[in-house]
Amino acid sequence: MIAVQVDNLHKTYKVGEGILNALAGISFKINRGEVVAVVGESGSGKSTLLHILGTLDSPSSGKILIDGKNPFEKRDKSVSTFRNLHIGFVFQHNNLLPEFNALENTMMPGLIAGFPEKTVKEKAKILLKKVGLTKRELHFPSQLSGGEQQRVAIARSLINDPILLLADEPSGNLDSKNASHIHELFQEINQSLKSTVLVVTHNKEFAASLPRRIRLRDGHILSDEQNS
Amino acid sequence: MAANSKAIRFLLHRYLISSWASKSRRSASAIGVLLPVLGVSIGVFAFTVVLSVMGGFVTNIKSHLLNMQAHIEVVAIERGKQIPENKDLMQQIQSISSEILAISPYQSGDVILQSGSRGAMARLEGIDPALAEGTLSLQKYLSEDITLNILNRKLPAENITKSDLFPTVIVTLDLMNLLGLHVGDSLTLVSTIPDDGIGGLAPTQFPVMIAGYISSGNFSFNQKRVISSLKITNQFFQYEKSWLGLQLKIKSPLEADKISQKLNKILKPMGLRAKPWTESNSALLKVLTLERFGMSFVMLMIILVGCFSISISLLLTIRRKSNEMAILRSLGFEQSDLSKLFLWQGFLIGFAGVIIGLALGGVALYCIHNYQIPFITTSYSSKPLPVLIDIYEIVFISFGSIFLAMLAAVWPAIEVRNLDVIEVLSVRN
Repeated sequence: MIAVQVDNLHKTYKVGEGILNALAGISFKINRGEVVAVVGESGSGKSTLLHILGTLDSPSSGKILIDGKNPFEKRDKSVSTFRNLHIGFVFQHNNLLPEFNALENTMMPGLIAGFPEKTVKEKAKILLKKVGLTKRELHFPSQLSGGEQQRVAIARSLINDPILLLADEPSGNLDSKNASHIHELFQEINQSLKSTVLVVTHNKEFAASLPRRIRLRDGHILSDEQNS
Repeated sequence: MAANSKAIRFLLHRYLISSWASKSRRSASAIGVLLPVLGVSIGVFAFTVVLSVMGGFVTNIKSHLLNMQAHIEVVAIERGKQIPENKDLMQQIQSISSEILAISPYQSGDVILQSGSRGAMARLEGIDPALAEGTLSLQKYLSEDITLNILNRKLPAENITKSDLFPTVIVTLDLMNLLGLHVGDSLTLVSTIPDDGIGGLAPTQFPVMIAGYISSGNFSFNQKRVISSLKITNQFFQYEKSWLGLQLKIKSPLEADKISQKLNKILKPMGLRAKPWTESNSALLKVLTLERFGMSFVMLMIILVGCFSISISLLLTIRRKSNEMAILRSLGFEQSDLSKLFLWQGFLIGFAGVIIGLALGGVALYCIHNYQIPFITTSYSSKPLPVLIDIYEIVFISFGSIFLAMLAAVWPAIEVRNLDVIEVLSVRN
């Protein structure tokens, strides 16, 4: 079953007098439960693709279907709801709200969705346990290490059972030990929750460990490789 | 779906209240909340205290005016024209409105007071001692042991060896001190208009005896006034049984204008008119209103500065928390949810400011009203300051301040809608 379908996706920006083609007509499909690495040099269009798939940005042209639905046919209100319920984000750093503890940060998307606080809290605790932070759930971001903060962000991204989990350089700011823990965590989550994950990464080892890699260059798909 | 109000409440609680729990976060968030709250508090505090103290002063002044002065005067339309004595007219006027509690005739004119080598100009007021207390309530301001009825008597003067009996007068304390006189002394009333007597034109001289003094607390009244009986005053001014007018006391002094209009419908054909106390004191009342308006304007400026600090603080919050705002958007917050978050912050900051300002104002007013505060009371009087808390004014100040605080949050609420999530996340990532 297809989780994400991208057809002839274009994204252009006006830069001074000229036009920058951040994405120049890319197409691909991601099946439900698949983990895909998007790799490429800086400026290749990785982050733009991630922002559009996350409905934070809109395409200039082309079609995107997430779980068979085109989020951009909706108004801002519905797009935000779609993002809240169906998409989880993990950014490189400064992912968390500094005035909320790990548990509250994890609960936030559930509260925004309007789910009962008690239910959301219970689920957040389960997710924090899954990422190994049960003892740190009342700690604030400033009291957590970089790796721990990323694990909280991963738990938070899963609270509403999203169709698609998007991660932008999730280990880019971590030392190799913590980075490797985060990589393992993504794979564990994919196996246990059958989540569809798209990870933008520069980390070659991590990318190589994932079953599929989409390589971008200058807004085009250079290669779309799958481990045999 | 709008972000659940629970999420907004959760965020507001943390940004405005719980941020005080941790020292590390206090400097960043809590100070950003504290300063605008203090700004609004100071404005509301100042507004409440100033308006209540001014209200106390105005009420005090009005109360003095209304005690010492008739609520309505009936005079001839032609200025200064005498009204022939007419008891039926008094009854007729009293029957026009049930609001009229008392009515008494009066006479009035300028006079020169002479005592030895000292002299002064004054106003001679002739009253009916039996009726005037009903309209003027002078008794509480009179020196001890006398009533207005003393004006009906003739008494010997202590500073004259001759044992003649003199008509009695009551003078204001200030005037008595000015002339260096005491109760029991004699005084000569000299007319300002010469009389054509046996020896040609000469002012009328009329010796009287000071039976007591009056001290009202009303500066303009206290200054130069001599009260005598209507009969003696008419004698002095050489009027034949006439009045300058009638003084009326009514149930509700604030209704004086309305009752005067009603009276005028009947009085005008008779060549008379009713003059409410507001007309007699229009200059003073205008000054008081203008002063109140001016002070309110200054206080409003203080609140506006407080509200401006809300705008600045919230705009700085957007700059400081742009990454958090972008994260919230990535989690499903709508633009309108972020706007709501800032409007609520404006409301809550305004609300907290109003509550703190009112509480501080209440404490300050209690102290001002009940205790002698040296640097304030010495410049006013030896008594604590008068205070009048007008509940409508307090409600107006409170709601007005909260409204202005919310208005101050509109700019940040619009600004946060324009936050470029991609740009913020791209810079941070």
